Amino acid sequence: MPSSRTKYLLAALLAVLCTTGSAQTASDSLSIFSLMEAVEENTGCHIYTTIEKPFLVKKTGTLKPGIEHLQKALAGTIYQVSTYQDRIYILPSTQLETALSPFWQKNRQGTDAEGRSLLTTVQATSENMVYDIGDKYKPSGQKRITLSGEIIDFRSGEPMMGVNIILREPWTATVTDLNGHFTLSLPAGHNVLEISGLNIKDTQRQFMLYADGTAHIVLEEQEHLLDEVVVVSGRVENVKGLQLGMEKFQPKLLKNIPTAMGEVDVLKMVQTLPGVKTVGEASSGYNVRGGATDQNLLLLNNGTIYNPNHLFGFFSAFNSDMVQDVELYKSSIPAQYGGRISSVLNITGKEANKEEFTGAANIGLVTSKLNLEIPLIKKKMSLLLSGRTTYSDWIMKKLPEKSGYRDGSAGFYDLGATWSYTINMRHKVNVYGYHSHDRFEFNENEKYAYSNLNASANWRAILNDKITANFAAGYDHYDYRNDESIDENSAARLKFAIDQVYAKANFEHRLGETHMLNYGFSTMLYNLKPGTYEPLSASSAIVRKELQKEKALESALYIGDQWKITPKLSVDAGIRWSIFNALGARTYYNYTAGELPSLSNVTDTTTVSGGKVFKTYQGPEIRLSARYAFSDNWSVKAGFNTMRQYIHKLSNTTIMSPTDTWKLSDRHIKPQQGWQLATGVYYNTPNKMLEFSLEGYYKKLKDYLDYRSGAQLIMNEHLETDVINTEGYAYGVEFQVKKPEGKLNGWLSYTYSRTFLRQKDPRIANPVNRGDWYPTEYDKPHDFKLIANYKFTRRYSMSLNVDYSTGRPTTVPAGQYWDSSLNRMQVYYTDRNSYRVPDYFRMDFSFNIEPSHHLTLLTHSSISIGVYNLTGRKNVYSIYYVPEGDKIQGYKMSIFGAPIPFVTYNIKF
Amino acid sequence: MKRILHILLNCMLLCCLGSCVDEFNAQLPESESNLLVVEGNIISDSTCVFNLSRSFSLNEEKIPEDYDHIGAKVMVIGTDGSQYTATQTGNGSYTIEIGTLSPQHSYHLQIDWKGNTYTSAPQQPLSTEDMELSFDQPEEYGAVHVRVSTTPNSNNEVSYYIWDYVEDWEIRTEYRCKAIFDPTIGDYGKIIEYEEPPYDQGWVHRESKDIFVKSTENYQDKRLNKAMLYSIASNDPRISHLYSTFITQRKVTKGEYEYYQCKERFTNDMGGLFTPQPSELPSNITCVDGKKRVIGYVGVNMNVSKQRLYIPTTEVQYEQDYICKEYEPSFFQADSDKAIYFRGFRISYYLAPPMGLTFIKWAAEKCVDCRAFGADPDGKPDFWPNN
Repeated sequence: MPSSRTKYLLAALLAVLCTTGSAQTASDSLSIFSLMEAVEENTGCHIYTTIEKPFLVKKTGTLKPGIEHLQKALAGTIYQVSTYQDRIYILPSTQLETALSPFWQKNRQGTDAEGRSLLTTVQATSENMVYDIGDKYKPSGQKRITLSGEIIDFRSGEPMMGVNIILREPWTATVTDLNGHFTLSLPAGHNVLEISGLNIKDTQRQFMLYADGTAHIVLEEQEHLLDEVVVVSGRVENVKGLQLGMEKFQPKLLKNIPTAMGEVDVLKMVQTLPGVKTVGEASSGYNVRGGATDQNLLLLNNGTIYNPNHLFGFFSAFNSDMVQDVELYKSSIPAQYGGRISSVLNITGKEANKEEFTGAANIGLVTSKLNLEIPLIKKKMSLLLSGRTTYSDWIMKKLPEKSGYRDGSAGFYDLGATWSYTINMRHKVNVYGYHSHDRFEFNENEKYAYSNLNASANWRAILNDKITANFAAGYDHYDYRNDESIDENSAARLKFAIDQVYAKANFEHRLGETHMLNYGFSTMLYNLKPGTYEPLSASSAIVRKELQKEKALESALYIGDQWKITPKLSVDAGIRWSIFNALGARTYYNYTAGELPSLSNVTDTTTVSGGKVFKTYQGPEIRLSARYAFSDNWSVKAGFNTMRQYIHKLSNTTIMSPTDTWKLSDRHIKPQQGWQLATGVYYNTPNKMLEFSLEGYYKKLKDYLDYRSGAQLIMNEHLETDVINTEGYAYGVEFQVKKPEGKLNGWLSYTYSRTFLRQKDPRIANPVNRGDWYPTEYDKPHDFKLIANYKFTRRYSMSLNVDYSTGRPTTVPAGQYWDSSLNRMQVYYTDRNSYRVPDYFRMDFSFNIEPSHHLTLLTHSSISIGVYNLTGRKNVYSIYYVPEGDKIQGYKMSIFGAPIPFVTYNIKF
Repeated sequence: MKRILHILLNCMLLCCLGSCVDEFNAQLPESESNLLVVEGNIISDSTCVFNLSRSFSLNEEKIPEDYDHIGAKVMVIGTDGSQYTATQTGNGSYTIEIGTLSPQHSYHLQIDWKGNTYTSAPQQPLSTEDMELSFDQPEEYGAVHVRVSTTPNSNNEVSYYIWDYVEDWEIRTEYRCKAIFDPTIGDYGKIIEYEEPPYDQGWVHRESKDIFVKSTENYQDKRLNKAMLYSIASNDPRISHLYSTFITQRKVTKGEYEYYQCKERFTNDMGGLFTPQPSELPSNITCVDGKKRVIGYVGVNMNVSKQRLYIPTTEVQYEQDYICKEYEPSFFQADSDKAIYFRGFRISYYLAPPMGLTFIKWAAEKCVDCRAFGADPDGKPDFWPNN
């Protein structure tokens, strides 16, 4: 059935293309399908029909036909037109029941002039539609119109209180009451109402006001089975919002962006954003505005994820089906977040549908996943279960031999669960669980595994009509292990683990119409097991060794205020006071004052008893941003942030390695500190077709932990003797233009940025690069990204992803010498990152087929077929030199050196 | 849909997915070269050899002829007032007769070259503990492991060691034939007979090119107990008859251990996804009157420990990975012996009675001529057991 319709559509399209202008005068009738397409195009509504074969109807006489034209065209046929929300049903001799449920019935306003099912009660569900209030043929003539109504949670059908509704010009604002009700006095005509609140997606509704009326604003648009390929703007408030450098998106809406192996991937999506870089494909971790990979706070439902990667970074550890939305803060970081100095990536898990059982399954070439949404008590309680697993061993065989993985095997799985309970209109509890596990082995003698485990509970309470509170508590765990058994006499296991428990309270407090306070506190208890080395078998001669545990308490108090000084000028000022207490029991070395810690200058040893604070670091963190909106369409913003970080990742690899060690600040390891100054200009074209932004930043960081030459980072009792404090700075300009909707949508960005480090400590005898500034591994000055989707029809679309950047810096040999003892050439290195690998370029393409919209189908499937690295460019991941006989030979390694086709098949039920 | 998936999956697997490693020969920016390279250690009561050379650009395709033309003054100086001056023996080589060092004093190397003075960090001589060598083959027809055990040091402290070894092994061919075919004689070559098979037995000598360093930090009693040094595959010709390895163990400081670890990484561990970034080689040699870098690490020892280990093929499971079979000339359908020779075959059987027909058999070169393994029929080491 769908295919026949598609065939007709394509035939019609071809006919139009072939006949070009002459078709306009050939006939005064057109195919019903052509009319339906035109109505869809013009109204933004989706049409559901059982019409299988096209028939001719009279032309409408307008280029922009609406529902009434459709009704007129079908008058006299067996088909009847019904509408509900933004859906149009065309069914034979069937009057679709679209009357309101009892819940809605009380608010019913009436029917249309013909007394049919066309609803006049405004259910405002879409950001993009303009809803009429009153009879446009009989406007009231009033200059001010009273719009009342309520805001309703789509999933539960419950009214939502504490939601802000704002008209910017002239400034009019209100907040919904306990019953979700609101009343606004608005100027007659077109009004755009901005809607924001805690834990809801910022959105807007457009109304054309002719007379007093009522609107039911339904938040969280229904996840239609027939989603368009729409990249929803991450910046609904591109111009109006106070945040700089903030990106927000929902994975489900980015599902068509082509990625390696066709997997929709949250972190890969993040990496397409300006200011976010990686050192190469298959790289774990990402770098934000010149920050290191450990300087990004990655939160999943308030819990910290320490290793967000599967399969060496080919995939992120988050199944996109369990993710509701993702916020990335690159610059203006709200005061409620802290603990990392570069960015915050806040991932919110999805809640299950409380109305009906739904699910989705996905089959890819490497992974498969299943997502179930189970209503336990209708409208009250639900459970989301999500799982993903892989069969990725075959991909290992495709890796370069030199990568060391070719003879290996790998696998992973992750599980997620969300239990949601709406106690009443004011209280809601969510409990989240997440577990991921990775294992891989280079060969049977070298095995790795790591796991994340997170559990958290979140209680949202509306305390009164001004204060909304969120209380959260949870437990996070990360561990890895590495087994080496190449020699059974030395077979050993290395283990590392972090456990942390936390509690957070966050309050949104509205003070009048111009102040929105945000205050709260958080506390986190770390329990870190830096390393255990133990024999793997009874025959092993290895002796068990366990490094002493590290414990610490990190707490913070914060308060911030979003102050709308004038409709044009707003300021968001916040301060966060963080305090870090390193706790015993601990025994540590003391070193000669004024000298770099080393085993040669140990003066004595201090032992601290359990629970006792032996070192405290504390200080303020300033969060300041301001916006001046010259008009509705353009504004300027500026911000200043300071951040502190008390936990450090120690690594001497280019990318995040599964055996990277984390270290808490202590007597000798200072917290990292950073500040960032940023400013930006934002412009939206008047019709909001395009969003422009230009942001610049300058940031400094100090006490970033680097490793010394020959450092031992694993199983080291005194890491301070092997690390060194480094300072850095970064600056950049990010330009982005975004087209959030339309047949062609997507974004294009260009970033120029630099980031440098240096070891300036005069106590260092032989600093890296003689103490001069040197570029980091992720210093890639020019970075161009394009994400484009083109929708041919509602079912067929294509996506293109283009990524170009300057090659990353790398360390190459300074020279060679003849080693007479080994009887071969050897290389030596002097300056770090003195050379750049060739520029990076990649183009990915996918063709997407959305599900049929035929009503009788029980399941709906979609498929994406595409090619990753369409041009087959061998992007250089690394350059290295090895001795080969009497010479040194250079090699370049590419991860994906050829086009990689992929196919992904999704089923929803 | 299933059919589409099936087709696509097959297309995918047929496609060369090709991650790859290619040669990279770009010109690198000129950096610091002409650095002094120092190799050698100070060892009590021994003749120490120090090799001096200079580094050169990576863009050089051949070793510069003058890379080891280092005319320097080299000496070993001790805090006990001792001083040993080296004699230049050519090609950057300097020889010093070191006397008995004192464990209570420190010694260092001093080099005066091109107006600069380079010195190694003074160090007290380390005494190297004895070692015990062994081998095993845990799995049937698996690799043979050469193992080392160290004796615990008196203070039960962490020790660091470096080993190098010299290998010798004997090759014996499957067939013993007194006649050989020499293709260089005349136009058609000639068969020459010897009194004894000339190439049925030979010896290969090889010095290790690998770096073996280990720490006793994680081992019970801070000693190595049958720790594996290296392995020999069960089909390796080294263990086809008799194998000998002469291993030298030297105790090093943690700094020298890190220096060799770094060197080893530059050789064997480059190019992986999680390979640590290369960094400057640590060195204990500094330029006293300048900031010139030096490559090398000079260790100071009271002694080194040496031991030889034999592995006869009778004590391991050797799996010969080639088959020896004899063929008559007709098998080759060749028009001459020379043609057979150049197809890689050698005479394995030769019978030429004065009055009768000559009878010849051929076999693969490996089965007849030990030189196919790089063995020298006249290279029997002095220490080699007679049987």
